[in-house]
Amino acid sequence: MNKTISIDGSTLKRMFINAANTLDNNREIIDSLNVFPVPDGDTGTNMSLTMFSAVQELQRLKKEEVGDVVEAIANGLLMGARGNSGVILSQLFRGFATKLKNYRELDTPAFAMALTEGVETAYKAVMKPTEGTILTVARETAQKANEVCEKVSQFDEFLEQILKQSMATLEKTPQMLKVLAKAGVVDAGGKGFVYILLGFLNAIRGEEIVLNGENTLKLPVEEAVEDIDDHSDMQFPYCTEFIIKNPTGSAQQLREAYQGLGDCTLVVGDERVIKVHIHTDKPGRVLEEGLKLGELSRIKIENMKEQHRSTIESEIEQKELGIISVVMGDGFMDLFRDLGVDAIIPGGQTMNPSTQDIVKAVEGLRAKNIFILPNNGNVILSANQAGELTDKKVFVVPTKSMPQGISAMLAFNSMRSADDNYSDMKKAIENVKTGQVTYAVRDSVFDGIEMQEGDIIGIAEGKIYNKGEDVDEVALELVSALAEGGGDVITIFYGDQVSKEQAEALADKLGAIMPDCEIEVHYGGQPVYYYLISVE
Amino acid sequence: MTARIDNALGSIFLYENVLADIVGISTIECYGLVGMAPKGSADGLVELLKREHLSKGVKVYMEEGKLVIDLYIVVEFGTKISAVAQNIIDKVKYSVETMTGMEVKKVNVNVKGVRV
Repeated sequence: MNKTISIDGSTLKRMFINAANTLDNNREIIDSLNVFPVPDGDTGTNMSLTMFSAVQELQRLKKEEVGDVVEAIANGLLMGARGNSGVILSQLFRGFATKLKNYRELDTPAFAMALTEGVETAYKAVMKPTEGTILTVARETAQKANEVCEKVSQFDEFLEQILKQSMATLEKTPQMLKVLAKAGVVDAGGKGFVYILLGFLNAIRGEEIVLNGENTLKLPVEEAVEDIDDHSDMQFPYCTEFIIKNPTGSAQQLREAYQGLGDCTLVVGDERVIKVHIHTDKPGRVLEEGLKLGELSRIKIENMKEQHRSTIESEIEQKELGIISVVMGDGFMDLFRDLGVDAIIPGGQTMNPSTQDIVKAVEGLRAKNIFILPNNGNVILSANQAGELTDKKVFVVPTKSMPQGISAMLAFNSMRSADDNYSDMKKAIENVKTGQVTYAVRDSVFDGIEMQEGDIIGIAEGKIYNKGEDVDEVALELVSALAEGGGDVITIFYGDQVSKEQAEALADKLGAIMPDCEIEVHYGGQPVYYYLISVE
Repeated sequence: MTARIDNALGSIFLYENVLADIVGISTIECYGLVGMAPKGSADGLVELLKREHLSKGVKVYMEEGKLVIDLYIVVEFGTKISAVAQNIIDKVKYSVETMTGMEVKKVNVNVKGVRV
């Protein structure tokens, strides 16, 4: 257990730097919450830039008494304040600082008192405080701090309790502020405040938060909402961002060049690097101006109108059933798409998609029930894992090959319930036997068959069945074996190394041997395998 | 000044005091601003306007068919004035444009005082 009951100046400094880092690591989450007044999504960035202005000030400090530290924080925040939330933050800490000037060490009551003063100062600087913002979160947190500071002398427990309060208040912000409820988010500035407290707590626990590192305590991530207003008449739709390395001019110069080119302009930097963020209707001009100062890097241009439209779409289109399939080969991709698969993850025998890839596809699909066709024995496991990692209802149809996947798709009926489809699809693949024709990559013995590099091999249901020198011969032998236990439909999917004529010739030969069977030929485009053959 | 919006069925007239009220009300929600000052007051002599007279610190006029808004404000000591003013400009432009449907060309913020 950590037994910190008083903090000195250098601890306070460490706490603050931790808070700035925590905030910056979660900047994008906070940005995604911004809805008010102009839904630009920069609260996190603004708060972070404000905090770092104070961090710079702190790093310049020679003495680390409490008074010096709080003064540096207050000054740094004041100078660096950006955006509404940044200004509020600077006021909070300005009040915080005034009470602590003459302290050498802080106990919890002193901390609570300073926080209260901070809140009072922050409230003074506005005529009509808006509740449901960072102001509310800070106020209720300070109240809680006052309640518990006499009883709780250990800082880790104290901070834990007030952090909890701040999170609880944050959750209530949508009830207090209509725009938040409308957008379905919590207040962005308030969230930033929570991260700051989290940074404090981690510092007391002795954990150092480094920039862009993993966070120890994960806060629930809100759903990103771009915007609550109609953006069809957006004047500056292209959000343009880039970095200029070793610029030959100043940020100020560039800022002037951007006058009238757009809004939400942010040009910051020093002699080594300039960062540009601007919403414009002329992204080309913006880049041109940047190029005059030097090399551009990390260029990002996004059409916010489009982002907005896709947000709307995601709200509307939530299908009942969706299907994701792991597929290799362009022909197979077309086939699966034609059969109604919603999303395709490229992959297969030689390239198994990760659980993460599958989770991403699941999360990205706007459907309530999602079927996954792994189409490979090795992928089934990742698909099952992915199903456990997401909140959506996931059905993994254990298809071991792409032909099985095709059969499952043929059994799918979008009008029926998810459960019915699941059992139908599973039943459909039981009747499918899969053969594969490929070549040996090295000399080896497998399933009792000795192979030399370059030998053509036939694989029946995952086991090596035969080998030979001629692709057609091996394929014919293989199909005969697969069809032995019954089967009247044979489907041949030919790979990227085989021509259509070759495949049709094989089908003709097969037809001669098995006149009772129906034979279909499709282009699969799969690598490595000459033929994938299904018999059902 | 009266702003006029025409459509096929008739015209909408927005009087200056209406626009000034909209501006005044949206400005007082801005963080860092603690009051409005009368636009005509002599330099160095600033009185805080009461809530009901907020619009006295606002001037609205047209330029090339777009609105131009002049604000006369008092801010809290210890806030970063440039950031506060920038926020006010954003907020006022947004509120006026969404509520009236008219385009705001400029918002000029005149800081007439700081409150200690």
